[in-house]
Amino acid sequence: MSAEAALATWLGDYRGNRIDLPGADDPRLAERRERAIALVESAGLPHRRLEEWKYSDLLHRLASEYEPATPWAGALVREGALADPFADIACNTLIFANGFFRADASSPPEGLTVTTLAESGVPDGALPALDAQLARADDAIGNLNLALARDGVFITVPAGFKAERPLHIVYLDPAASGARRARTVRSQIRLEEGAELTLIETYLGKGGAEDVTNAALDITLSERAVLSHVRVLSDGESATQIHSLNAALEKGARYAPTILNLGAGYCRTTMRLEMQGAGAHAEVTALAALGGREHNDLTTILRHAVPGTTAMQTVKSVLAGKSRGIYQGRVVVMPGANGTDSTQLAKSVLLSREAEADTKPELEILADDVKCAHGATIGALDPAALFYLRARGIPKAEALAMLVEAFLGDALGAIADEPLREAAAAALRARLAALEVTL
Amino acid sequence: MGAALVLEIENLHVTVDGREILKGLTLAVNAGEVHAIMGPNGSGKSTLSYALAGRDGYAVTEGSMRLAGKDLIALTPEERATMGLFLAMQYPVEIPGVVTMTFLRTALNALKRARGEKEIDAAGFLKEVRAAAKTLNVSEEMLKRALNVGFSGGEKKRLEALQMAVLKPRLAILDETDSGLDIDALKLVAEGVNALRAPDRAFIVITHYQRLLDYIVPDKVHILAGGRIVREGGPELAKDLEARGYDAIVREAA
Repeated sequence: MSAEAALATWLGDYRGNRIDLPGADDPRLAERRERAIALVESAGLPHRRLEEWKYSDLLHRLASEYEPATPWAGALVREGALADPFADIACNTLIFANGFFRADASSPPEGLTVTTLAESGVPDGALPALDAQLARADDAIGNLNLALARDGVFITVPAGFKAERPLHIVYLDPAASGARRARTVRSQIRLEEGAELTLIETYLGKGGAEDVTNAALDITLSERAVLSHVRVLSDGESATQIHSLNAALEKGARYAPTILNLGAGYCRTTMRLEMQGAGAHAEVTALAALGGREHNDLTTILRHAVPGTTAMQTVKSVLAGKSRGIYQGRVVVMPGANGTDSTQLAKSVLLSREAEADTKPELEILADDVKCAHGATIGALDPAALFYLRARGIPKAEALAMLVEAFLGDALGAIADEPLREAAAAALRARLAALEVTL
Repeated sequence: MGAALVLEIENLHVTVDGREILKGLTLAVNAGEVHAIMGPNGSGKSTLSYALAGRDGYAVTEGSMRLAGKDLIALTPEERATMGLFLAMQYPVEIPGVVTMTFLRTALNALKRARGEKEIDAAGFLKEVRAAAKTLNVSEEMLKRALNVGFSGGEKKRLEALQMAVLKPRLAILDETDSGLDIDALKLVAEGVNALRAPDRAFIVITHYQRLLDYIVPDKVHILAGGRIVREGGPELAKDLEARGYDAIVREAA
């Protein structure tokens, strides 16, 4: 299928189904969807000639017929390629099945406002983030998501509210069928002044078919709001997962996302962080443990817009088989944004000769007084460390597993909540045990 | 050959990166003995310790080494450890993300498993480690930290001694354990080693200086130069060396 035909397929989904999309009778949303699809049509689908997509050929993944996913009312099992690692953690849980919210299986937390796109459309407070999306005219994936979103959840944490339990959103893939399906979900989380929340997201795909998930999450953190965010993703080897994570941080807000990719055929996460208020701090940790022909691309765009904002990005990949791990980290320091401190650290360990890691830092510094450090290493495990462990009697396979786990596990320290960290570590261990060292 | 022979090295030739470093080294160590191997820089001291422990890249091209009568050459490092060989390293490796305590227990249980013994439970292990840690002045806090990460030179060497105390080897090789240690740390490590001296255990203490041997008194001293043992004697040889220097002693031997 040509690029034009691929684009026509997706535009056709919109044009053929727009009257059935949620909010079709709400001009606030319908008009924005129209603008979004017009932007997609003029930008075209992402292709490798675009610098931002040079490592991750998405066009191939989008270039075939699909069916829009439909709601699933059947039984739910909280597992996919992986069992839900957080099943035993006391959480308020929101369940999505096949890309649609399942109210009957969910337990929304008290004190938070939770509505869904399919059920209640878009609340007024969610419109600014949609307009911010429309302002990114080149972001075809984000705009396609806005145009086609079938469901999603809008969450508001009121000022000063400190959620006791984590909020866990689980995305399940229960409707195994031969057909290739597309799921489009767009959600928002807004934390008002001084609010605090731990958000967990678990994507548990089976990916028997060549399903495409296009998920966007818009995050708005008002002054002094604190969001800890753990995302674990696991899907089948033919699945395509495309994620947009857009966060805006006001004065003194803190955002700490930890993303674990524990296997998916193709996963692209585009993370945009807008540091808009002095003292805002972002702590990004992204880990991937891949094998087979799996492909993970993390592209971050971090904009320091005002003086005195800080960010730390730690990206680590363990790559076995013929897998590929990509990190493109762009840091933009706007004119006058003095006192910016933005660090990027990317490390990859290759467990086979055919695995590949690509790291591309991009710094665009338009202010004088800034600290922007970046470091990258790609290599095999430290032979001296391996010898040290073996010399103490630890068999080679076990020693290698220890080192791989240590390499990634070290970064899990970013998850402050201990039971949560342990659960994430256990999921990581299980995944690593399944990867083969062929060096 | 008595039953008490722990280590027997004959005419050992070892090549590193295509260069022959050990050129026919012969050495015999009996159970219960402490042997010191002294030598100038570049004489092959560390090569000997790595070759014994089985590190990749240390190729034995000729000769033999036997631990308790068993040929070591074809064995992996972990198999040698299982047989009771322990190398206290000159430069202990920092391993971020591996908690020291977890590492110690994994190592001890790996040895026990390989020997067909029952694994030690958490409580029993803790008790054993705490006792040894106290003697060596290794704090609980150190044991909770990542292995060797951010440890001072002295802390690293004390931790090596602690590992030795927990793993209870049949033959312990101390590779320049004195390097980077101040006198207090040196005494502490030496006391740790002396406490482990036993009729069924042997030590090889590799050092450049005589100082360590004031605290760990050897039964025999060997001078290593140019990849061979060039002189052997009792503790007085180390003192003689200290007084007259390597040049004089090695020249005499030649």
